[in-house]
Amino acid sequence: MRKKKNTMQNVSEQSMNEVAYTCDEAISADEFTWVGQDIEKGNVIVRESVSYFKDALRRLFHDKVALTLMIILGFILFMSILMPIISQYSMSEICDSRNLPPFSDDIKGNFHILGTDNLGRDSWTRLWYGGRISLLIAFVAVGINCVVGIIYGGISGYFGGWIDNIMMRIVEIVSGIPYLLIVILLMTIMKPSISTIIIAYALVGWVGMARLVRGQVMQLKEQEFVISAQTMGASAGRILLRHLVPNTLSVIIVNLTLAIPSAIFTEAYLSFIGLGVPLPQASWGTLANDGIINFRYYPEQLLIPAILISLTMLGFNLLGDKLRDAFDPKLRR
Amino acid sequence: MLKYIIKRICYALLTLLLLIAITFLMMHAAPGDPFARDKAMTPETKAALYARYGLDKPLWMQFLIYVGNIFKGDLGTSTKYGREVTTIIGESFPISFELGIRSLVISIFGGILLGTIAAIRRGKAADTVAMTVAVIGVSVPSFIVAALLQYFLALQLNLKLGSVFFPITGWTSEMSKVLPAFALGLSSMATISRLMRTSMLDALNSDYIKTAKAKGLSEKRIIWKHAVRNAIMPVITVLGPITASILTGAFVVEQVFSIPGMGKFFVTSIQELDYMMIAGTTIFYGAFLIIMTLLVDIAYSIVDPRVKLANGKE
Amino acid sequence: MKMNQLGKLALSALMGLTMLAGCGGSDGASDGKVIVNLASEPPEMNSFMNQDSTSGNVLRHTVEGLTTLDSNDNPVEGVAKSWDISDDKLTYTFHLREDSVWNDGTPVTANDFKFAWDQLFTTYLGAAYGSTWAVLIDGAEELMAQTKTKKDAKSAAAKKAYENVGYKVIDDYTFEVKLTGPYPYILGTFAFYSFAPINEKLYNKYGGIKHYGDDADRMAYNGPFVLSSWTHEDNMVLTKNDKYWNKDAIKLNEITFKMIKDTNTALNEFENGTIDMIGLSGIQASKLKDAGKEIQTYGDGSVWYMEFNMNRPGLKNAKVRKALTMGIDCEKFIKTIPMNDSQVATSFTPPVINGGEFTKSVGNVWERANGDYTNAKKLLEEGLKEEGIDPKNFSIELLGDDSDTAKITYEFVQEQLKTNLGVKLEIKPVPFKTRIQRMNDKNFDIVWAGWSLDYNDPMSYLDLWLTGGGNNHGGYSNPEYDKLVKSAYMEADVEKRTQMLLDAEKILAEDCAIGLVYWRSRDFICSDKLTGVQRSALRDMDLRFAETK
Repeated sequence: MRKKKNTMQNVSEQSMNEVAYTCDEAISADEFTWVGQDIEKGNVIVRESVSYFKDALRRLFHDKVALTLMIILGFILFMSILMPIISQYSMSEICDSRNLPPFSDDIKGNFHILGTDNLGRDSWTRLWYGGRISLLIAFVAVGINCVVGIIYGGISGYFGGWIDNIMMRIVEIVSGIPYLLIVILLMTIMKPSISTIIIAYALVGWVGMARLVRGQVMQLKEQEFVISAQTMGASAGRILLRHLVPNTLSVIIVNLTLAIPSAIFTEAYLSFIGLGVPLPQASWGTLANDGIINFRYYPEQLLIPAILISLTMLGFNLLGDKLRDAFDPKLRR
Repeated sequence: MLKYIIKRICYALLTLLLLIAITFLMMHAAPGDPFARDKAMTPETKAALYARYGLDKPLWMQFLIYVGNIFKGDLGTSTKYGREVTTIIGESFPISFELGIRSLVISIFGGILLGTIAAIRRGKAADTVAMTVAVIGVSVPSFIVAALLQYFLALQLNLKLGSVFFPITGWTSEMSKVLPAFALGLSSMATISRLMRTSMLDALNSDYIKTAKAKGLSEKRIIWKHAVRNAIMPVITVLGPITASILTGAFVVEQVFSIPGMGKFFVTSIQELDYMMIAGTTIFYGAFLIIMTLLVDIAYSIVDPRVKLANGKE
Repeated sequence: MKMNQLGKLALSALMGLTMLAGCGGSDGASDGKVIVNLASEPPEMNSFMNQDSTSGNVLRHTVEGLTTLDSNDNPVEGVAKSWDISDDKLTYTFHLREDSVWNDGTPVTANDFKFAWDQLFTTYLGAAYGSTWAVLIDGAEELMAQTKTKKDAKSAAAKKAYENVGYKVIDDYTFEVKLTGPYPYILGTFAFYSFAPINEKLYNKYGGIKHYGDDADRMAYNGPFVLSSWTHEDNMVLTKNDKYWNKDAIKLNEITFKMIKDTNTALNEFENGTIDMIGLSGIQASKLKDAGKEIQTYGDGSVWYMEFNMNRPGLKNAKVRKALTMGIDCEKFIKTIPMNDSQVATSFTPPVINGGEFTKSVGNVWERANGDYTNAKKLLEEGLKEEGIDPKNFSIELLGDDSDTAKITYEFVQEQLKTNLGVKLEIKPVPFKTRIQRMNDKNFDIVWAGWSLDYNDPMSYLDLWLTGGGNNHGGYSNPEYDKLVKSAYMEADVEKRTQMLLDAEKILAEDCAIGLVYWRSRDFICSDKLTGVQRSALRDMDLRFAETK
């Protein structure tokens, strides 16, 4: 035993010497001086403390793709706000040249960037007017749906049991009632306007989001971080909003971006049956709807609004992905 | 589990009853009547027609009679066509069902595949392409897709070939079913692929995948065995609404391709105020929706054993 | 397991994508088979119950009444081979042919007419056209009054009414009809599907009121074609009736009616060579015309106008109504919206009536602005002043349908009134049933409406605006007009009668009871294979004279 220990010691001593030897070769201890201890400096925070939100934004703005998309979306938004104001044509003004192709003059020699529609109205002006309405509806309607859906689905999924049971049966009933019937009844009590569209859409639009959030919450609530939050005495509301919802964000954002085109076309549908924006106003949805009738002869009347919708959607979707990357706590570095 | 399912079915019947009661009230509150037309009808004739279809009785009595008849398998008579609602649905539903299943298969398989590929190749060209396709799929509604497919892939192709490759309309040959199913499934496919990509990314980042990687499992096995199974939850959630939207969304696709399916009745029955048809389609659709939700809930617990169904939170 | 089945389905879907199907078009040489677009499912194939032109288009080929319409819309022999007319023009005695049979071989007899007409005028069965036609036939209104419920119809009074009604079976092949007035158009009217015969035995065998006409094998045929198959919402196949008395005149062997609603789809089918006749939208027609295709046009008998609600402020003033009517440039309207041979209306009765003679004698009684709106503006100002309305606050709502073409129509009208008169028009598109309800409730300012004929006479249009008429939603009332139209009802002298109706037209224009806009024409195209298709206001689709090349 003893002997063994000795040899061990010997070996280690030997190696220690070897190390010391190599160290001596590189840096000698004399080169270091004692500078003392600065207690105050030790307490200074060099890197800014980054809040969750700030961190997300920072990462968003550092992403080139995200930035480009934001510029495109900004451009579309800007044009939608500005063009109707500065355009030389009004949205309903009819000139005598119908269905003009893009970049052409009408009979009176007035130039139309995107030509005219089947009544002889300037397509360019109508396009951006439409953008106003579509974007407004897309944001507001989807925003409302999102908030309602998250709260509803969150509560249903988190509490489970009979609460979930009742809440989900309500969802089934709401989504089971034929939408057209709801709209026709709404028409008897409301005038066509943007707020009417938003109400009509919000009445049933939230169920999809509610279902999705419920599903996610059901899956998440059995996980450790929720259990630990519960043991630490966090309230249900806090667990829901602080722990569960942020963790479902990725799915919420995706669903949100998917809901926007559906809102745009629901608006077109509502306008068609007389609950939407009052004529002769247009939206991207109604422009696309009208365009499909004559697309064989005037494809541009369908393609231009469709492309703008797609471009906006592409922007939102990719931006949604970036947002998700930026906001997702699981991906936070 | 069995007990749970039985309980849910009981709830489902109750929900259905409530749904039909609400729809009943709403459709009778809608302005107009089933027999209104451009040319005026004498009050006597109208009264006769109301009596013939049992619409002269008080609303609650009509409702009770209707519910009673449901158990006898009678959904009433269409005021527009004068034929039994069950006959009409019996003729048209199988067609819509087949169309729906076809587009569901396209959208589920296509969506999961696209989404998974995009997630694995995140940030690469494949990702961008897959997601652009998906976004366009969501942004362009099915009535446009259907019209474009019909014009370019059916008409123009046929004219080029000099023979009929894709028929323009109908639901008879295998070929006539391809374009409608695709047009109907595209947006759902896009939705699924978007959701799949996101949740797949979540899954790939989770600890158990890292563990699996550390264990030295093959990439393929990790992705298809572990990640996809976990990532599929949100997809399952939207399957309910997607099936529902495919069923009702069939209206435009069926119209463009002139398919004698059930989709049109969801819309025309209300436009025509064909009361029995409205109630019939609503029951049918409602039952479908409820069954789908039930299946989805069951699927939850199968795919993710952590999800408890029966009792919720203890 | 489930996955496997799904997989199989997916596979079959993919197979479908890659498979090459080799089914060709129907280009056999002169086989007498044609495919035409009917556009929608016929809702009612029971002839006396029907009220719909789609079903009418099929019924025209499958059943035949006492008379039938020839290529010029004139009544010619049908089941009746000849008829005697009494001197007072009130009694018609029809002699039926003995070789007219139902498709099962049962002869068509006078009893079949009596039975069908009894059903038509039995109120509780709910035939929509019952009340329209009851006024023409002696005793029919009494019959309708006695049969309001099923119970009433079995009463003694009803039994008496059935016996006393003006049409009678003299013997199996003689049928007598007594009219309430000397109607010059009555023979053509008897060609209408409401008056088609129905065999009582077959009717009951096929399910009576509940099911007769539900399916191809649930009705009887005595017309030139038999419905051999009916795939609901998809197609109907009509084959030539070998038992039809005049079968040698029928050249087609088979007609397939397709129910393609979407006009773009229909055009795709046509260009694909898989359909022989389709209706065209305005833009389609004009583009095909540009491409050198031969387009056929027919006036469909509908006249389109703005119906004014006389109870609304401002609109009760004739000057205001006139100004609003003049405020629309109708020439431009036709170039923009229907884009075809539709005409600016010069009278409420369109030229499809009596070969256009009546319209010609009315002449142009409606004042139009012809590009100069100063007069219209002045009228509007005056009118509004009389009503005590500030022109700045004058705003009206246009109620209309929610279809694609309708919407663009309203937008055009809206912009016209705005630029030409400075009138603010709000548009209220609503679903069809809502529109009808609001019209019946008189809950509108102006409604965009159309009217089409039931029979070949100006009366089919002009009796619309009688005070309190069921279709007079705007509440127009002019005693003079009422007097003229009502006396024209009973006038046996054709010239006098025509004069009365002419005067009525003039009053209508003077009062501007409605804002008359246009007479509609519709376009259709036939493949090179199909010729001789006839379409007119009275025969929306008639292939009895068609043949294949």
